[in-house]
Parts: sequence; C-alpha cells; structure tokens
Amino acid sequence: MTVVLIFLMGVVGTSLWWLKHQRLTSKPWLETGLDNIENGTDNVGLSKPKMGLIVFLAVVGMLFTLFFSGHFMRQEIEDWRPMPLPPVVWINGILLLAASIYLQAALIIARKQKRDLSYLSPIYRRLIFLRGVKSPDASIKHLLLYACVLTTAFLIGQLVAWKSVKNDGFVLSGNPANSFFYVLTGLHALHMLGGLIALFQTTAISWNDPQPEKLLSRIDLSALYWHFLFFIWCIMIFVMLGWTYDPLIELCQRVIA
Amino acid sequence: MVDIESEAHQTVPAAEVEEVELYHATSFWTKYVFSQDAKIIAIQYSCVAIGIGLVALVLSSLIRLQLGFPDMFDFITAETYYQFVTMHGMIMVVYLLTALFLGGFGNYLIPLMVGARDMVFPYVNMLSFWIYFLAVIVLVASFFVPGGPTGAGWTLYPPQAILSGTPGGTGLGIILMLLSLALFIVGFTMGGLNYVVTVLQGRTRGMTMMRLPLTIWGIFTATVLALLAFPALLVATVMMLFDRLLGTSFFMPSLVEFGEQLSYGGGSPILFQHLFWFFGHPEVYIVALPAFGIVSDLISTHARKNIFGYRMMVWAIVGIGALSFIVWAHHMYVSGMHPYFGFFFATTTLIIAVPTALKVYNWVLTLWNGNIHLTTPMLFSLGFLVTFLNGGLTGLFLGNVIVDIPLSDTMFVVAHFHMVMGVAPIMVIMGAIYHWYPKMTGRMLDEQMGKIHFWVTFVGSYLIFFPMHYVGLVGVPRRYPELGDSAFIPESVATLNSFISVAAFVVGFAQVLFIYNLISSLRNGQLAGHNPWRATTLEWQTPQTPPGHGNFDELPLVYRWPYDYSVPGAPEDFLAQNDPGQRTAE
Repeated sequence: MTVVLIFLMGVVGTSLWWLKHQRLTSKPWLETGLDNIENGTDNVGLSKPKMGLIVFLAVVGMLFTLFFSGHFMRQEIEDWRPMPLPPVVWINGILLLAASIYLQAALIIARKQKRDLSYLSPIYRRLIFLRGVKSPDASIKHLLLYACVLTTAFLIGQLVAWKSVKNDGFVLSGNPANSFFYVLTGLHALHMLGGLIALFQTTAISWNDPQPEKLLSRIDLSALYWHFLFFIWCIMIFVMLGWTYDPLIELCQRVIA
Repeated sequence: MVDIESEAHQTVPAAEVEEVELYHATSFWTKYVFSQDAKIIAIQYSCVAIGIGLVALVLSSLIRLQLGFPDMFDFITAETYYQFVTMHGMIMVVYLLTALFLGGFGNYLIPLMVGARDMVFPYVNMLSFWIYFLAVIVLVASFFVPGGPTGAGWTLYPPQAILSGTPGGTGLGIILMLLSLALFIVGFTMGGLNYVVTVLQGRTRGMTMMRLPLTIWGIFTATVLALLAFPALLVATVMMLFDRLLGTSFFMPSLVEFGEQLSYGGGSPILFQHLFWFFGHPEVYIVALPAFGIVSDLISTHARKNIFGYRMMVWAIVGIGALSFIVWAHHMYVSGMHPYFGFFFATTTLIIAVPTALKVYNWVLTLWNGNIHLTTPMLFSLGFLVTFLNGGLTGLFLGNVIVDIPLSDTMFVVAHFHMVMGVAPIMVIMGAIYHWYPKMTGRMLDEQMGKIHFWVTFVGSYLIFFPMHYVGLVGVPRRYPELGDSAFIPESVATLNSFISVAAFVVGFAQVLFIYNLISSLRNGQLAGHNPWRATTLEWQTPQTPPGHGNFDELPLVYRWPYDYSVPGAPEDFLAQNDPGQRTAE
C-alpha cells in the first residue's frame, strides 16, 4: 500500500496548499460585512467543469494507484510469472501520445483564436500536419478529428494487443500477471472510451456549429483528460514491465524500515 | 459592549451575485421523478435509504430472535442467520448511512446552506440517484435468487466469500452483492463530484470557507474521504468478481474443497483485507464527519449559543479526515502482521482520539451556560454526545493491539461499533430529520411523539448494547448463530441475550412510531413558518417553505458566520448569515 500512501500524500499536499489560502486561522466570529473579506467566492479560479474534472481525475488516479498497489503486493507471491508485453503496446503508446499532442495544439489555437497560425513553431506545425490549414476554426476541427481517429486507433490497437497475448497462450486466468494485464488495460480502455464519446461530441460541435467559448472549455477538458490518461498509461506500462519494482519499492521499503 | 447598527446595510455598496443558468423542468416526470433539482433528489435518496434501512432493521430483529431464543424458530438456520447478518451490516453501513448522510442531507443542505440555486452538475446528480436506486434493486434482488443473498459477513472476506460452504458463495448471491457495490460506487462518485465542486465553486458572495456551517464542513470532508476511499472497495470488488466469474487468482489461494483441488492458486486474501479496510476505516468517518457537523449546528441552534471553538472544529474535521487514511490495519491485528506494523497502526489510531476528544469538549463547552431548549433535535444531539463518548472509549481498548487480540471477534467488538457507528450517527440522523423536516415539508413533526421516540430509542439502545459489552468480555464470539453447551460461557449470557433481544424488539417497534410521525405530520403537523428554530443559516432564510426551484429569489449575500446566537440587542436574539446589521464593539 506504499504507493497508495505516496499518492495520498500528493492529494493531502494539494489540499493543504489550498487550505492555506482559505484563511483557516481567521476569526470569523469577529468579522462581519461582505466586502472586507478577501476572496469572497470562487477563489480557486477554475471553471466549475474544470474543477469537477480535476476532482474526478483524483478519483481515477486513486483507482489506478490502488490497482498498482495490488499489483506490487500480488507479484511478491512466488507463483507470479512476468508476462512479456506485446510489441503493439509501444505503437499504441505513440498513438495516444499523438492524440494528446493534437488536443494540446487544438487548445493552444482555441485559446489564441488568431487568424494566422504563425505563433505555432514550424516544427510543431509540421508535427501536427497543419501546413495547409490557415484559419483557427478549420485547424481546430481538423485537430479534433485527428485526435478522435488516433484514439480510436489506440483502442483498436489495445484489442490487437489482447488478441496477440491470448494467441501466445497468456490467458486471463493463466497467471496473476496476465490477469493484471487484462484488468488494467481494460480499465484504462474503458476510461479512454468514455473520454472518446465526449470528444466525438466536441468534434461534432466543431464541425457543425463552432461556438468558440463552449468549444474552448470542452477542448480544455479533453486535453487535460487525455494528458492524464496518457500519464497513467505510461506508469501502467512501467508497472507491468516490472521496471518500477526493484529500485522504487526497495527504496521505499528501506525508508520505512 | 456589542451593539447593532440596523441601518448599517445602507452604507454597504450595492452588491450582486453572478447568476447561473438553471435547468427548469416542464413535465411531471422531469420535475418529480427524473428530477435534476437537488432537493427532490435529496428526498428520493432519503426515502430509498430509509426504506432499505427498514429492511436492515427487520433483519436485525431476526438476528436477535435467533440469538435471544436459539432453536425456537425453524425458519432461521445457520445459513439464513449468516445471510441476515451480512445483509444487515452491508445495508446499514453503505446503503443507509452513507447514502442518507451524503446523498440525502448532502443534496438537500449543500446548495441551500452555501447559497446556491442548485448543485453545479444537476444532470450528473440525477444520474447519481438513479444508479444508487439500481444498486439497491440489485441488492434486493439477491434475496430472491436461488441460494439467497451472500452470507459472507459484511466484510466479504475471501476465500470463504466465493466458496460453496458460504451461503450464496457459488450462486448468484455474492455476484449480485459485488455488482450492487460497484454500481453504488459509480453512483456515489457522480454525486460526490457534485457535493465537492458545489462547496468549492458554488458558494454565494461573502460565503468564505470559514463562514460555512460545520454541517457543510462535515459533509464536504466526508465526501472527499469517500471519493478517495470507495475506489479501494471498487478495486476489491472488481478483482473478486474476476476471481469468482473468470477463474483468476487475485485473492484465492490454492484450495481443496470437499476433496477436490480447485483451480485457484497463490492468491492473497490479505491483499483483499488491505483493500477492504483501506475503504472500511475511512467509511467510519464518512459516516461520522457529517454527523459531527450536523450535531454541532443542532447543539448551537437549540442551545442558542455560538459554537465553541469554530476554528478548532474545522481543523479537527480536516485532521480526522486525513488521519483516517492511515489507521486501516487496526482492523487486521489478528491477520498475522508484523508487530511493528501493529504498533504503528495502534499509534495512529490513538492519535485520532485527540481531534475527536477536542470536538467532544467543544460540544460540551457550547452547551455550558447555553439556553438549552430540550426539543427533540436537542435530545437526540445529547443522546449522540453520550453514545459517541461511550463508543469512543471502548474504541481506545480495541485500538491497542494487546487488548484487541483477546477481544477480537467477540461481541465486545459488535457492541463497540454499534455504539459508535450505529446508534451515534442514527441519533444524529433522527435529530437532523426533526430539525429540517419543517423546512422540507413546511410542517413540524409532532414533539410529543418525537420525545417518546427519543426516550425509547435512547434508553433501549443502552439496554441492548451495554450488556453486550459484558457478553463479549466473557468471551462470546460474534457471528455464531448459537452457542451450544460451551463450558466457558456462563448461564447469565443466555438470560442477557434474551433480555437484549426483547429490548431490541421494543426499539425496533419505536421506529414505527417515528415513521408514523413522518407520514401523519405531512398532513396534520403544525405549520412551521419559514424559520421555526430561529436559526441563522441560509436554508432558513428562503422566501418559500419548502424552498422553491432555485431556492432563493435573489441569491443571498453573506455578511457573517453562522453562529450569531444570543446576540445582545438583536431584535430576535440571533442574526442570520445574510443579515447585514453589523455588530460593532464599543
């Protein structure tokens, strides 16, 4: 459960930082009036949906951390046989990273909404295949579409990965390492799928009826969600490869001992 | 000396609160059934939670029938007894207490008390209730499947939970239980996001965090705990479902059952225990923190006195919340853990007593020299205070490894957690219902019936659970449907068990009076007016009672903290939070 406690320390740290700004040492029984109180309301400075998403991501983070923790505890038992990851997961990783980059690019453009895209560096523009597109609206809708396609490809890629490990004889109940592979990747894919449905809606809005304000908020949320799930995906791969096990866990165990 | 400048509001510059878009229902279905209004959702949550809670109450009577009068009732076998115990525990902890405090009171009180028109994500809020409702239906369905519901104990420990020796272990019982829990968690997460974000981002102007009523602090912190703790139960649930349905071995060690080697191997039951209690212990505080918050407001209002040590109360709530995540293994002292490990968890467990005791002192000091009105909500609050103290003290025993080991799995533990986590929060729920029912319906509950209800419940609960400590101390194990002729168990245990059972039936029956009061007061109750308790918080300042859609005509502006009671010179002995009249010290 060490990793869970490390994650919780992060949550507690963030909470303490936030609480620090809430004037917890004030004496509310002595203070009256409306305007002599600083930060009357909305003092986190984020929109409600973004705040909601951040809280949700903390829950998702906790969920995955608990699974990782279970993975670490279970792999100490001797029947554990590490499972080689199929090569296709690396391609999938690149697909997801690309989707994440595209959403970030869409977010940057949506924020600036300038006519020419010269503020994007040429390398970045080449990276996101936007050489021919000039207007911000057009580039946003193209980028969103690319992100949808890439994420769909990622999900199909994950199915291919499942099929490939199954064909190699690594079935779900064969060994706990296999079980964790299926459960973790399945859970991640479910989260991805949920996000993809929302992204499809956003993309549809951008093609049919682009309202910059509404779109910006939706792209902002999607980009954050994609970055987070890409981050989780990376850690998941590290955990399943066993890379995190030796150095990190041994260090933690030594610290605790 | 403190004085009131009633004209002071004229000097305050015109202030407005930014309006938010509000969803307006147009048909009966969207208004009362698939409603997005937090107040309706709150009532839906409360009715379902109380309904399923009554099922659990009946189950507890059946448990007591068996324990008090073993061998008298043919329909209670060892198997059905285990099923009753399991479902009673699970329903009470998760489907009643968690759902009622957070889904019921949270939904009703958060928007009203922070001065918002509704929750920030009303559609998600509606989904939250309906998924909870589905979870309850799946749970109830397990009573009617072949083999009946699971009898694995509310902790659902593997490997026994999914083996054929346990009722429902190889049938549908355990599967439906796990599915229902997973649904509950998904539904709760949707609601929980609403509660947290509404408190963070939905507060009206002037309502700083340090001006929030303690009720909101309690519900808010409990929701944060629940959002972080329930995933542990979800992980355990998913893994156990895989073990049960797909033959994986996350938790299942290699086993021989009836001479047959099962296909499982290598799994770790201890892993399940860690996951379960990582949820299970914060769950205690998920129930307790809203109770702490609500009782603070009840005591302050009905003693007409400002809460003693508001800041400390807030810090204690946050502190208890944080500490509750590092004590879980005190439920596992007998699992064969390393002694140093036990020492660590015993220490953290006992540290929790510090902020908790601080709260108890503050409640007592709030009462001290207060103008105590012995209304039904106040009686229940006092009942809570005494019961929580008693239950907490036996917690000190059980928190110590050396004392816990002989007491583990005895009726002493049952008595302890029923006092601290059963009776105490239920007292607060009752008090809160008597307190807020006038706002929810516009009519008062009958005080006479309320007082009879309180005294029977309060005295009855002590008659049930005090002797149970003794039964546990002489070594009677829990989870045994009958004791047989055990040499170490004295005669008095059988007599006491019968006595406890009779007391339990009386207390159970007293709840019928409460339900009758709830229903009959809807029509016959005395009209409440908008603020019958002369309380300061915003929910009592709404233009209509019960509050209409959108809660307020104009969003209120908050000028003060929520505990300005017995203010010298004030026209009504209190100043509401949105009262701009200023106190000036001379």
